[in-house]
Amino acid sequence: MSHSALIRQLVEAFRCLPGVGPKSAQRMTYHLLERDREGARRLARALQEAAEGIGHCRECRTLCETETCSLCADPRRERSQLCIVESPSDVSAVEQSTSYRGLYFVLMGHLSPLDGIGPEEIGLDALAQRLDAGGIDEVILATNPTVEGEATAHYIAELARARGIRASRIACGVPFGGELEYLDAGTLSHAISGRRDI
Amino acid sequence: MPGGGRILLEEAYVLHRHPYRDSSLIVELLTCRHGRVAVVARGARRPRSRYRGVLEPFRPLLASWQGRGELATLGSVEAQPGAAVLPAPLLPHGFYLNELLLRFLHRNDPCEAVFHLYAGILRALAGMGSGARNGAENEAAVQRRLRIFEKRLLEAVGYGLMLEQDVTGAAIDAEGIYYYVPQQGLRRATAWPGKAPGRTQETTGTRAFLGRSLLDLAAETLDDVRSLRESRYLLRQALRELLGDRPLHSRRLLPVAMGKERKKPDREGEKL
Repeated sequence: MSHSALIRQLVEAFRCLPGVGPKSAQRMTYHLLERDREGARRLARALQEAAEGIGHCRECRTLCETETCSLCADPRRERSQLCIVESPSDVSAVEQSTSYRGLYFVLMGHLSPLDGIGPEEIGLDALAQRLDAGGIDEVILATNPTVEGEATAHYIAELARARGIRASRIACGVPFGGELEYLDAGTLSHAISGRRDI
Repeated sequence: MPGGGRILLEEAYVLHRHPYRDSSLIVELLTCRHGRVAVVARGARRPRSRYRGVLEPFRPLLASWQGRGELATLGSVEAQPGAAVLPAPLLPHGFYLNELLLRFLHRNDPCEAVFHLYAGILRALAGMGSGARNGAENEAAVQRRLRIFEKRLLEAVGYGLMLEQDVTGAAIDAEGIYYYVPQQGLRRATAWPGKAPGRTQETTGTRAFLGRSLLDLAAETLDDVRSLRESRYLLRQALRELLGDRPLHSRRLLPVAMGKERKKPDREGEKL
């Protein structure tokens, strides 16, 4: 089937989205063109503005269009706690589901030595400066419980320890409401070795 | 996989993972009887994938895969129960081992010796983490393990160092001074370059080694501090020669693992 040049261009453009193959791209294209021209214009404007305007927060490196993001600028946040996460979506996950009231630092990745991603690439020099600047009593390491996440957490813990700052790691174990019988071996052994007094 | 065979529950370790397509991973495995194998783990990045938490490096696995060509398809993977985990301070060392293997081993080239060498050092390192946290003693023990791993890896891939005789075929003299000449071996010198032993000679960039250090490395008894240090320089030179100019990224992480504050990597470290 042959499309006109503009349609082909739009189909191709949709394919940069994750999970969108040629079929879905074509469906989206026809939907917007046949049924929702206004939606298409809105989408185009939003994409344009976001792509041009969004940068990184000066403090926590998360994605935002202002110099400091709303979380970092909020005077009600606890400024002595810093939660280290791998991505902006981790920030919203922690925000939505926990009572954490401190600040964040977003690494935008994790240490991955084999891919050439070292401390500078995930902003650890900026983090070290921030720790040096003082005012932070505790660093909460909320990187993912993968080998790379652990290595990253350990590296940052060393940075904190060298400055006399407390470093803690989020717990890792049995999910709430889960059943031990169906748990994978790795998680269960973590849960047992990381047990605590009650 | 030649012949498009199906391999069932083969002992394996994950060396590395890359994202592939939207939700899959390409996993580089080091396997016991099939060498280094690249497999696609379909859907491994989906939230409820059966591979979640299993395809982690440094853990002994039993992996099944099938398919032909460069990329096979991963089947079921089981973690071998009861294996000790590599402690966090030693993860950078683990990454270093994995990077060395990825650079040295070709795909689908069986090398059981390397598999057992790797499994052995991981078990040894995992056992070390439980002791005094990152003490100097512990660090020296880790370094000894790494040097012996490097030496044996070179032997296993056919580039073993001749540590008991020099280029002329004469036995290494424990009191002698030697240089490492790429592609040839050790050549005896009459004097140390510069003032102190082990120092870089500015003009040629080569280091000299005491015969005793070479013999210690040959016998794999690196308890002596000097033997350990000189072995490190020698192996580094030998590895660099084989790996070319592309640096080993994982070395950048090693200084902090030794409990030191990270400083700018020295030129030596940058190169290898």
